[in-house]
Amino acid sequence: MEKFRIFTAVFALSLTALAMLLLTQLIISSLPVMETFGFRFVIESVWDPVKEVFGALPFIYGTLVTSFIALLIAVPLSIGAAVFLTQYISPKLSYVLSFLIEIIAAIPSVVIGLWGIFVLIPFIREEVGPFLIEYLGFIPVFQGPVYGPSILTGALILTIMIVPIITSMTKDAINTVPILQREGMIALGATRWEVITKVTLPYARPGIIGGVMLGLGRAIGETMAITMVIGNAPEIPASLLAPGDTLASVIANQFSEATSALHESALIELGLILFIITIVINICARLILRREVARG
Amino acid sequence: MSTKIRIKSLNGWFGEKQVLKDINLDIEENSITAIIGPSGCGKTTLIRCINRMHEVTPGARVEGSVLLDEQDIYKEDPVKVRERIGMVFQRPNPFPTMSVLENAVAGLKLKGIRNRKLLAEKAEEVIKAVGLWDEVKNELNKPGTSLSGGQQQRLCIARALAVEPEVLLMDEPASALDPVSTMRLEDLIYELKKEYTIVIVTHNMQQAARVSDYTAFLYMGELIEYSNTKELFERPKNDLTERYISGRFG
Amino acid sequence: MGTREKFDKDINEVYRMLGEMRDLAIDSINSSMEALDKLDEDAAKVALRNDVKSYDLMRNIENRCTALLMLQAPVAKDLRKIVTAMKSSGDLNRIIRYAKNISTLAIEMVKEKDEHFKKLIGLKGMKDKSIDMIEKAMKALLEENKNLAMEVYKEEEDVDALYEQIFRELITYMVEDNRKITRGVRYLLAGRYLERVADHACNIAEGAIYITTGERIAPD
Repeated sequence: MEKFRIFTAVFALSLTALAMLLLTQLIISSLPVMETFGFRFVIESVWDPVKEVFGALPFIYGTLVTSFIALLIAVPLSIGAAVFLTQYISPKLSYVLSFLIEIIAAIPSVVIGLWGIFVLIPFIREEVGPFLIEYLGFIPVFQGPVYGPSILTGALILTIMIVPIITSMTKDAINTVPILQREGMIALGATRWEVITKVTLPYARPGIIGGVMLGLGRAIGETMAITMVIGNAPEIPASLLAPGDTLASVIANQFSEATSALHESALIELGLILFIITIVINICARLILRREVARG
Repeated sequence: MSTKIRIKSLNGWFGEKQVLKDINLDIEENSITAIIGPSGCGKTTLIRCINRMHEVTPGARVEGSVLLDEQDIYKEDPVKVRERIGMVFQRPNPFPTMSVLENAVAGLKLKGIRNRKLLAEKAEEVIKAVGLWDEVKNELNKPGTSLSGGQQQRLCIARALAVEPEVLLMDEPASALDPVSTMRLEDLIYELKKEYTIVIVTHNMQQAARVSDYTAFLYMGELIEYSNTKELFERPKNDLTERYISGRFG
Repeated sequence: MGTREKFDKDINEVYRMLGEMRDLAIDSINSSMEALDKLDEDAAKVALRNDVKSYDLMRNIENRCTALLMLQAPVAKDLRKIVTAMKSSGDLNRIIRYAKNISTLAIEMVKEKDEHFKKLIGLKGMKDKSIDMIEKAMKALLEENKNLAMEVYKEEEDVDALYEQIFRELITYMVEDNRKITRGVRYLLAGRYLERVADHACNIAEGAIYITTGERIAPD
């Protein structure tokens, strides 16, 4: 018993040590940039490796905006899908449809990226972009020329990638709602819709929030697919229809060709920022969940 | 006394399995009718057919008719039927995301009543009706699930009463309660009979004997015996009933 | 032992004790009537002793039945058997008490050095009849036999008729000769006690019918 405890402790501690090591390594490697630019690094919006001027803001912006838009589209879509799959159709059909949705999550992101290039980009350029400009052009974010590769395209790619995650988590959360809770509402004379909005979803809320946070984490960290469609422009575009870049993309794109030590260090600090953002999101998710659980 | 509910040739299924076989039963107005029988005899299914809850379960099916004031509820909107026939479940199921007060009037909100004052008044009325007011009047804004088991169950009864039903169905309402809460609940049920017609499913035969006016004994989906409670417990006519109530089964 | 078996064992024990009380009752009636007939003080004491035993048995039955009611909350036939056992033990105890009263009459007559002025044929007839009724009623009770119990009801009429007959006869004796009044009243009292015994036998028979059918059928 005691031996086994030590044995497992070694595993647990080595994993913790690994995480700490990673963090330390990132910090050490980004020290040169920190010394040169200090806090300006995160608020500066010029990124010019040739002149060795590095500002991370465009990438932070790109990462947060794409992820936020992706959530904005994915959350209602996923909850709607999960409600449909669990409440409106037979378990057999639900199983088949759920399987198909979950398959999306299994597609390698590079394949989704390719699909983005060949299908989504032309679609945005020829259909969605002109439509948005014509009808919603009065909003600043839908102005300017349509490029195809853009913040919006990136966000849509992310949406596709996180919908399966949020859907399946929401479905699981809905399935844990006790039958007695739903029947309690039905017996009061509630319609199916009222049962969903007044009992099922409120009860499942902690689980759904967990799913959303997981999706957000995925969206923020996603690299390959979004790199292929976002346009890789290190600037903060006024329009969502213009190209941008994300933290993960720029690291993937520039790391192999980073010639100067300062460039390399800047990219590593981007990684550190990405790391910190995901940690913050994780902590927030945990806090929200804890509050929810305490409430329920 | 008149017949409130008339169950005619009622058959019920779960998938291929028939769980109710040709049930005919008349339920008196303003009386308490107990349904007893061994586990799996169909007693819960039977009361769930009375407010069309049975069909909510996937794969469940009903044939026959249930007349409420001589109107077949199977020819009406189930949502409307459930407003007239309330239900209390085996385990207390207040909504955890709602406060005590919101729980009490959850059904009224469904009916579209939004007036806060009216809702608060009605909540007080029904919480008083179930004898819970003095215990919870300072905790009205806490979650419904913060109350004790017995209080939760009475809150669920209050919740059902708020919709002003004519009939109250209770599916083993005391099965998760301690003896003191059970006694209080039984007293309440007895009180409620003045204004409601009550059908109660119970595992506990002493409970059936204590609270009910009429008792129906169900076995393997069939109605074996139905008579007034004293009669059924003192001199059951059917040998199956006799063996079941005196614990000589199996 | 399962709950059900324990219940059955307890109730069987109660009915065994009822059987014991029946034996005591019959023994008491026989010996008290013999004491009265032969003016035998020793025979009279049998009924006095039986009365003490009977009281203990009755209390014992009551306690067991109370426990069963409390612990098992019996219904249907179980309930009817317990309720009837409690009542019947009371009836049997009353019967034994009446036999004791007859013995007391005998003892008084012995004390006063009385002699019979007639043969006690009528009283003996009543005694035989009422013992027969007790036997039948108890058989009906133990074997749950409704028809046998109904027979007991019919026999009660015979006992009543016999009592009526003795009553008239004794009145005649007492009117003729007032020295016979004290003894005559004692015979009458003995008759009256036996008539009560038969009445209690009927109660037992009624219990037997209740156990068997759940109905309460009163003798008319």
